[in-house]
Amino acid sequence: MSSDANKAVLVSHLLVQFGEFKAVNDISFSVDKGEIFGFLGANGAGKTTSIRVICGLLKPTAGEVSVGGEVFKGNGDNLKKKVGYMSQKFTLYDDLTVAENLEFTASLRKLDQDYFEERKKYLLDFIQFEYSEKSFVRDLSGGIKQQVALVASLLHDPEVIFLDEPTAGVTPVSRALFWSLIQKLADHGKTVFVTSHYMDEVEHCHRIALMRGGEIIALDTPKGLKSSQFPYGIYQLTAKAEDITDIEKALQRSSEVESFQPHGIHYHLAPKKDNSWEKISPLILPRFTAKKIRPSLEDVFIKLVEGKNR
Amino acid sequence: MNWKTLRGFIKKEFRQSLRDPVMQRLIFLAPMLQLTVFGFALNNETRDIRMAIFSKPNDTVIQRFQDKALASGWFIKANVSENDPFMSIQSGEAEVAIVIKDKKVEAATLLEPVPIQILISAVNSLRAQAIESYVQAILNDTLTGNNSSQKLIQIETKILYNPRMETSYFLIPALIGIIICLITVLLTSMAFTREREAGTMETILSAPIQKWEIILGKAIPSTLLAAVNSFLTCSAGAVVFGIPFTGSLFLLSLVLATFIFTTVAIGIAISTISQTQQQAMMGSFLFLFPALLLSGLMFPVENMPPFMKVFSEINPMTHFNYIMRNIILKGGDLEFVLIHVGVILGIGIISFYLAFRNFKTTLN
Repeated sequence: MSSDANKAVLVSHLLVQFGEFKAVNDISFSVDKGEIFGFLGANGAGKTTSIRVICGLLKPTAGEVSVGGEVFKGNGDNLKKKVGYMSQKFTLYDDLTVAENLEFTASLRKLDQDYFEERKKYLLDFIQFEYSEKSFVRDLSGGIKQQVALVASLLHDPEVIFLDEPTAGVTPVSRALFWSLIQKLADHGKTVFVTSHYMDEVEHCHRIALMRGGEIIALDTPKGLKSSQFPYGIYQLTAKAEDITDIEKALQRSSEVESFQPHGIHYHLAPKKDNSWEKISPLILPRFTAKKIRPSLEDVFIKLVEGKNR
Repeated sequence: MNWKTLRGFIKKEFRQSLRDPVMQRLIFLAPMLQLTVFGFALNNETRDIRMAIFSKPNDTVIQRFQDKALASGWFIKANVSENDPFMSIQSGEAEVAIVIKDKKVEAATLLEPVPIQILISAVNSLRAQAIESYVQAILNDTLTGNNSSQKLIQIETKILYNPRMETSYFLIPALIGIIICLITVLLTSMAFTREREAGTMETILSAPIQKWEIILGKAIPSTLLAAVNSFLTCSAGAVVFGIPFTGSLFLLSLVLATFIFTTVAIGIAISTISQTQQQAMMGSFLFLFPALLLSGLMFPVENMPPFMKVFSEINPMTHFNYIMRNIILKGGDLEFVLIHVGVILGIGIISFYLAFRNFKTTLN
């Protein structure tokens, strides 16, 4: 490809094997500079393993990974210089202060004192940190810890930032705030690579790769994923009476229905063809109230990841 | 060469281990306390042996024996309620019974010897051994004094280096070794596993960091802490127990430094093969207990079967004990000290090599 120079991350035929188990099975994709790229998948789908390889933390069994034009070599030091990594546990030392934690990270990256001070000030402003630098990490809330961990991973001004489930276990408000920071980073031209469980927040990604059993089963923009998986939209059905066993079976067997799934107190029905709804609505409307809705990523996820597991 | 990472590591380790007041006390006060408590409590001199004598009345030899025995300070008179020697031991009233049945000892002739029976309770075998040798020594002394023909040969014993045979002179140097081991092996072996468990190892490894930086970053703080500690425990040994430290302080420091280097290396080697703190702890004890038992402190190395001797010889603590005794009591024979320092250093270098080889800067 001629546009390879503009790629922040290039992965081709990556294979990671632990004994017989293929944690990542022959995946290929690329990420553009300045893109927010999401990795979505259930636990054990291979998201963390893939990220660790791209960060130089894990040696691939086969395949090639390059970040900012650098290919994984030796112990991955060349990749490590280009990337910032924030792991699932916001790994800071609880018994050190914010300043001490950042100082330690700076020493790991061999930053000069002046450069470190300048970056620290800039990044703490960036996250609008309003506590004392001398506060102990253990005294901070989960959301603040997560932001300080982000600062630590950004200290050396990496080209690509990897965030492995950055918002696990923090409050919804902190999650929203964190995503606004991610957005801001992308606006500054940084490439952000993020994994998550939360469907709602992955909507912020420019593109999403869906992983299952070590493979990428879909890769597109959120909009593209929805329209390719649900070309005829989704109808949200609410049962008028309680017992719908008979019609449930009939709908699941119908050749006009792509999928019919319980969804909270409602049901989501995806028609198979353009004219399917017209054909089956007479059957449905006496028993349900129906509303055409826009498919969410959750619907996509259920259809692609969980649906295939059945 | 860029020292930033190493410096940052050392700073961080010191901050973490010295900030916590509980940890401060554990690191600095506990060793001193242990030294003092163990030094006083671990006393293998046998005292207050309850002795009962069953003999004819007015046996002057036995009377003399009894006086000597009581004067030695090792024996006390047992309160015996029965006139049966065996029952006096069975009931626990006496630990040793001296029995002369038919006549007085002084009436013995070549034709009619007088048998003396000594009953010793060996419920505690170490104590029984001591009791046996004490009784025999005092009996010999009493009897040779009685028999004029034996005065031709005079036995004069002079005990060198530790004339009062103070047990503490023997124990304290070994205790210093044990305390150093506890600090270095145990603290260091936790070093990597704690980071692994907390997940901080991932962050450290996500930086382009060299093996030696991270290994030395963990080793140097432990080494310095142990050095300060060994200085404190040695001082406590000198002040509280009056250990003479006759040898050169330079030689002593050399030995301590080598021993600390080696035990830190062992701790790091354990750390690199353990995944959790629990494994590291068990691994440390797997080293510490045999090292302690085979160091010659509890059982003389000379008495061990050959294959155990091998383990004893590759045990840094054995060599540490050899040298410490030599330096502290005999003043330090340079060649002897250097040979054993060499062995300890060798073990340390091998451990460091293993640690270095096992440590990976990827998560594979």
